[in-house]
Amino acid sequence: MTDLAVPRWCDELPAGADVVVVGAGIVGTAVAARLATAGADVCLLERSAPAAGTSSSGEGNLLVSDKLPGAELALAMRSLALWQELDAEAAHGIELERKGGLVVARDAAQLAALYDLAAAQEGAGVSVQRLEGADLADVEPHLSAQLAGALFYEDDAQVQPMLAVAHQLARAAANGCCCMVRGAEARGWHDLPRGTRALETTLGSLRVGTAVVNAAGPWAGELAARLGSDLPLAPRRGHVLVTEPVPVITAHKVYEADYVGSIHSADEGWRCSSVVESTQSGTMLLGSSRELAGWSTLPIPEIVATIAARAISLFPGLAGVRLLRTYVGFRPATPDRLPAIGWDARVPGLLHATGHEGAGIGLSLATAEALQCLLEKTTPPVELEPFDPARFSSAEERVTRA
Amino acid sequence: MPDARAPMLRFTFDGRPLDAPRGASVASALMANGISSWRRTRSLGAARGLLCGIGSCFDCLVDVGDAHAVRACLTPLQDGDAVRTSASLGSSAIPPPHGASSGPRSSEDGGPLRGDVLVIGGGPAGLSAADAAVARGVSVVLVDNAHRLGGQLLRQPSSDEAGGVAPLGPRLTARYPRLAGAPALFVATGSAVWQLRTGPHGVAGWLEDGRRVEATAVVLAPGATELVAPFPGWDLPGVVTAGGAQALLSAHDQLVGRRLLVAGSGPLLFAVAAHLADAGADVLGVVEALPARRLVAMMAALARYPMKAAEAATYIASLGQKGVGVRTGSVLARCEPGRRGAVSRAVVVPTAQDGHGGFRPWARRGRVYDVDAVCISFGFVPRLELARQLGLDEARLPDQQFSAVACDGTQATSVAGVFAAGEVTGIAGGEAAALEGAVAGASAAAYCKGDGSRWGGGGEPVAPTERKLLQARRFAGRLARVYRTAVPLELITDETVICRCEDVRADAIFAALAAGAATAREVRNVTRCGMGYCQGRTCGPLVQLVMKAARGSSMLQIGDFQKRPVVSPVTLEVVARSALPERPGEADRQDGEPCARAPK
Repeated sequence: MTDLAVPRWCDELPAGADVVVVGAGIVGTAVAARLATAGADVCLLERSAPAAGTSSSGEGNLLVSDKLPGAELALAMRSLALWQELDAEAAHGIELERKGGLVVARDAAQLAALYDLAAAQEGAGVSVQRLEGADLADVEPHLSAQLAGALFYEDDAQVQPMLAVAHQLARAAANGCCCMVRGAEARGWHDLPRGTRALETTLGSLRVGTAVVNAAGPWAGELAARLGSDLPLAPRRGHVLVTEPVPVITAHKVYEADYVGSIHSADEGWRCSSVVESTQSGTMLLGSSRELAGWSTLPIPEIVATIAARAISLFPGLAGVRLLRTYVGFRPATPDRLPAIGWDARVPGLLHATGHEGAGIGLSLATAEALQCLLEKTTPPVELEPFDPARFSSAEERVTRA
Repeated sequence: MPDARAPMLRFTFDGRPLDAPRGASVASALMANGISSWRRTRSLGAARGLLCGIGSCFDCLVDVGDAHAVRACLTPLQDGDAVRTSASLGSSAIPPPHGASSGPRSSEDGGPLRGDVLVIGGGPAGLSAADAAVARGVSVVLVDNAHRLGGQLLRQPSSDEAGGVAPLGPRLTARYPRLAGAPALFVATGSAVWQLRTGPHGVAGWLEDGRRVEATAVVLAPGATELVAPFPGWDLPGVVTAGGAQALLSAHDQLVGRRLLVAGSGPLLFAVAAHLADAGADVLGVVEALPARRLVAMMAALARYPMKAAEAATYIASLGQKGVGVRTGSVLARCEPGRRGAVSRAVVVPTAQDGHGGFRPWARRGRVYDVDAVCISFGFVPRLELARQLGLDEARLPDQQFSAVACDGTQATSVAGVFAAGEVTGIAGGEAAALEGAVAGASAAAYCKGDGSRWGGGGEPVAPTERKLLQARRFAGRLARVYRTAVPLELITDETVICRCEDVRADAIFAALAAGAATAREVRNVTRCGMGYCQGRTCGPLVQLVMKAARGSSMLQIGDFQKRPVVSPVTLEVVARSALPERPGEADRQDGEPCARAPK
């Protein structure tokens, strides 16, 4: 356990840095902390506040259960291992809880589809348990008796993202390699002599040595445009309901089978599938919706009502529990809902680390590790080709862009 | 079987049989039996009882029958109730009956309530708005979360209830004769609006009890919450807001204590102290943070407002008669518990002016008072939850710390069809609130009629009201200038609890600030401050003031805990049923009855 120094934010830009990370959310701070710990010369820029965007608007999911077998599942599993390491060293705690995920099916058809998914995930090394009838009631006694069955994923975990960001900032600040500047919004860049470039920000410009890391979350598309490139990325909005604190009725993260379909859907209308979980503070978090609604922060009454109704259908005891708060957040979504991790195809020196949809907290650490490998030109532990931002460069992909 | 003729209500508290007068709230019943705490906080296990007394702070949560964590100050006691100490947890096992925290059952028989104008808040502003709208021939739905109309300033005693809850009792009928029995007025009390939306077809509001209200225009008159500056021991049972003490006395004829101090800053201290002394409490003193010379300046200003001067003179004469001393230039620096855990000693120390126009305590030792209750007030904060649901523009009046709803001369806000009146538009007192309400009601009526007239025709002429309003606001401005700097944040120590819901101490806030937190949301996110039942209504303004003092940043930079708050906690079952079958106001209002007169 290490007790880290208090991170110190600067009001002024340094003259330059080898790597400039834009965005102090879960991904940007993970990248900055990782690179700084390795001794790199890093500058982290944040236009408003750390974890002010997507990072503080989710549930802190570290999930393997909702990943289809393939590159994203591999990235999730690698990240989960890194989260365990981070948790062990975080003196003040990041509230990492290996609570386990329970994916429930409403009918036999959904259950059959879940079992197919489980078989494929098991092939990729995921631990899955099949639960029906009395077994399910034993694991989750308050769950509605109307459900067909469920899958239990013991590795699914949760973290408190704001604490995690605070910890990453402290790590980044610890060895003095990372300069952190608030109130600096990246505007564009211009060439300097001898092949280097300067990043222009609202606080002035700074010289960039090797790379600018685009960790701007759902705003990453806009940042890419400002830096002369193009990244097809839309803010996919979601609602979360927070209840009053209640005695624990579930120790797990419980969600409906169609949640997985909802993530991977290209549907532009709003979709809602139930996610129910307790938090360490006693409140319950109820999700979730997926909709394209621009940047509006106004919750939609129909969606709030639907989330409440579906949560009650999973846990009838929730009917009398009071709602205290709702919030909306914006997931950075690419056309194929896979992250964009890697060098920009058009603009040299621009490195993307975004597009994680609703999985950015979980995937942040493996993303940071991948970025370090790309910068150091070493082989990453996870195959990165499916996340290559260049995949959006074909004209065909652009048409389907939201 | 409870005996309906019994003069007293019988109930139990943690198994002990007790009784209380009819009409009592759970809080007043417990306090009548000498019980000052009935909740334990979740992490520190601290004892808590009444604080704000008006349903805003959620500190007085209690378990009653099957209902867990309901507000003792708002919940009417019923014969045979089993009242228990709350562990600050709701219940997920048994859905509580409808309106357990909010009173009478709703009519669940279908459609929304409809009116031309929805008025939210039954205090002086809301009542005057309803009155002015009714006078202009439009229909009104008036909603208040308390069981009786009147708000804080026109609070009606529970004793004049002759069976059942009559929202408009004798006191209000005398003041607003037009509202008594008005066929175009529908009153829904005991249920808060938890969600409000506007659309092209009008406005829709959702009530805690599951009902929905649709209207063409809305007048927001939710009033204000009291500001309490924290100091060591401010979270002890027996430390209540001055307004809370006043509410308990006016509604339930119940004193918060026998030997008490009234402390803080502002004209309310004198009014409450006089009221408590008249009711037989031994008021040991009034402690005002401002030095005497500032008060003298205020008294000089009062001379220009004879009515106000007369009111102040009454309070001061009454206090003088009872021998209640006024200690100016002093603050209540610390409260200490007695053997039973409630406040028993209060330490008052003198203050000195600092370099920034504020005052800070300078003596370590002070005068010690033996008390069984303390009443605190440092002014008021506009209640902006409704305004923020609608995304209304906000503004800050000169000399006021906190932002308020921005209005034009017709009390219209930045959103069409939405009007606001009273403290929510800036703290200016009850008289200004009533006058603004009259203007807002007239404007809302004109908006509904769509006839282009500024005030909707009919009713009293508005021009004299506007003149009086100007004067009332000028007076409020003078008061605000006198009292603006009197919040003694220096009293806060590392151990002082700031967020009473989530047990967040000041050291956690200071650590967050030291780690670079520059906005209120950042502080909330890393400390949980403001994430409890009250959602930061109590601690939000305090955190803002602490941050402003510590960082020198503006309130705009610091921001608020939440962008779009839920107005009031509401069961998920009610939320689940709230999906709109149609868009707000879409139903054809020209056919049939203009106004919902839903069966009670």
